[in-house]
Amino acid sequence: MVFPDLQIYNIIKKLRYSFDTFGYVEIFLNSIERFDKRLSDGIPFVYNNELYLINPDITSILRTKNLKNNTRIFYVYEALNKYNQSTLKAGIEFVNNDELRSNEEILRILINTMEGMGIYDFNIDISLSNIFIDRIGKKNYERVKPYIIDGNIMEIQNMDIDELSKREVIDLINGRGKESDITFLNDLRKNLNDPRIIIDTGTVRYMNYYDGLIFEVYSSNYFIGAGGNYRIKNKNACGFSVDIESLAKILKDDKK
Amino acid sequence: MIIAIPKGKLMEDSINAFSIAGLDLNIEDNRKLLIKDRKNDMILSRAMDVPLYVENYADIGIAGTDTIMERKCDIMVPMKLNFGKCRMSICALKNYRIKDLKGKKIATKYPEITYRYFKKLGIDIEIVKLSGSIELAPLMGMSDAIVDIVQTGKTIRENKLMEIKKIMDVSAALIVNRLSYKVKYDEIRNIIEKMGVKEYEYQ
Repeated sequence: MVFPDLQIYNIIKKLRYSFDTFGYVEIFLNSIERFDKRLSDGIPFVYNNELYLINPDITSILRTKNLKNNTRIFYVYEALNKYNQSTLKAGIEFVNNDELRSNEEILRILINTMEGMGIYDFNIDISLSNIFIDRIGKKNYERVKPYIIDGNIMEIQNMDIDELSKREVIDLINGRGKESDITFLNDLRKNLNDPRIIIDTGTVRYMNYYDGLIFEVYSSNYFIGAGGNYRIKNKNACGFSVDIESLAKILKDDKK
Repeated sequence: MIIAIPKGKLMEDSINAFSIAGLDLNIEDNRKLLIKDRKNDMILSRAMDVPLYVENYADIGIAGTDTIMERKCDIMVPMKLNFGKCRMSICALKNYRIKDLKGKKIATKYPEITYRYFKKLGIDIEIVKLSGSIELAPLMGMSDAIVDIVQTGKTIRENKLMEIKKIMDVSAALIVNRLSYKVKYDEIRNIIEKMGVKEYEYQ
């Protein structure tokens, strides 16, 4: 890697400018957090008989804080997972009890930020975190979940769960880009009026704290980021994070 | 499409499976590791590495379910295929009960699967990572047991080993890059459906 990496620097500068323009305030969190079961990712270590995490997932940290309604924050952050892999991320979070409004705002900012970087060739797949549980119940969902993640329809067809549940699951997995009967997603898509937003009810990879909207943003060659709706101590919130190195790769490819 | 094909035992059946799905892969010289034709790029990779190529570069590939589980790559596995069938088992010179393997040395080229299997049972073992000819390890006194692929059981018997316990059934499987599944959705679903029409079985 080149030091200083001017491309990464310029991307972060543009992201900061974009988030700031929308009224979001940058926050700076400690790199080490005392272990809390609500925290995701991060590298664990023990010091003086206490368990700590280095750089856990930032949204999971925020869920432990007291944030007021209408709080708008952003961050640039090095996330670490338990395999010691580091990713430079930037993201925003909006605490607002109007779920549809906050989800719309977050997606608008995401679209605007991508375009502000000069990236137009991207899609955002949207779905709901609880969609499978709502349709087939938690017990059945836990059983079929590995096959949903694999997209293994044949294995689902062969399972000993009722035919109606199987049909529901298969329809959801195959629901990508099709007309949806989910009013919330239809309304969101209609309000945002952007053909790059695709309803993909087969989207199942997301952080376990999401409750409501979940989405993934990607270009034709790279996953860019993800986000969703969640709760912070009985308040509604929504946010996303993008992978800065993926943005750098897309911009580098575009230059070629 | 960028297609990852495993070299070795699974290669011929994999090419046939893609041919059933309408992808005629023209591989005349299998010493070349990257073959390009007008429609597709083909990567000929060591079987163990196919999941890694599909996670990072290729759109689609075929790999054994043993390597898929061992590699723990972030890929989709939409279908198991009806070839490359075998099992992964614990074998030893003595007919150990599983719980008797506590504190023993287990030789394997599947350290991840072995670790997870024994951890789930709450049995602490020591793993000896080897790359091949695993059956030698107990004979040389390097391990008390092995975790390895068993097809007919002939190699195991010839090396005076006993199959103590099956860990999993193994077969070839179609694997798909998660991003490609989104951006080439129709093309990939079409391949899955065509391969699915061909006879398949489940574990």
